[in-house]
Amino acid sequence: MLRLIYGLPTWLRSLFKAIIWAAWNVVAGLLPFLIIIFVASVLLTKVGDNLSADEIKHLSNDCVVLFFCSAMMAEVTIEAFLCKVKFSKYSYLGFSCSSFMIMALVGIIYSVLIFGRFNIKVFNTLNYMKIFQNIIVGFSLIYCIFIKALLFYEEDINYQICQAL
Amino acid sequence: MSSTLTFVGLVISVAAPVILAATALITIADLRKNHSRDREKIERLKRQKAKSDELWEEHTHQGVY
Repeated sequence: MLRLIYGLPTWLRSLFKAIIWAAWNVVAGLLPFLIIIFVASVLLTKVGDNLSADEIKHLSNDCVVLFFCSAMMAEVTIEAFLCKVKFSKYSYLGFSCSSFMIMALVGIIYSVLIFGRFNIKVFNTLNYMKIFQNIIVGFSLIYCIFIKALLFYEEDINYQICQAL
Repeated sequence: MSSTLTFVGLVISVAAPVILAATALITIADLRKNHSRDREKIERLKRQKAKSDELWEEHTHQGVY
């Protein structure tokens, strides 16, 4: 596996590393879902199935996935700001704007869920909310993979420069 | 209130990917520029090192050092 990764061109290798990073983060961050699914599959009873389905619904309704996505975006944004790679000021502005916008969207969706009376008024049906949720999940994954790939790429390039000297 | 929130949500959903795409283009262009500058700097350093090595060899043969 490692030999396969190190045989790739630098940009593809960085992308691959970023995807592995994101996958591992998703596995670790969404561990409650995995535990529930695992326990339900071990129990093999009707009650266990019902309980797990209820718990998964409960976690989804509490916006666990959305808050996980915002946490991952915030972490990547801070890493981009604090790392040794110097981006231009417009890049920093773009990173922070897009991540704050998504956090605002998560805030709106969460407030809509908490204050249920807005539920019908604002989004009309739950499908609209699902669209927003899908947008947030997809966007945060793309955002995190992009920035992490950039950081891995820069790290690789710097290593190559050091080796050349 | 409700229409305002929906509008804000829609604007954010459209604007965030657009901003990210623009940022990606700017960042990639910027990093490519930086890399070409780094490569030039490395070439210059390599030339300087070769020159100093040559001088060192020359002076060692002449018995300066």
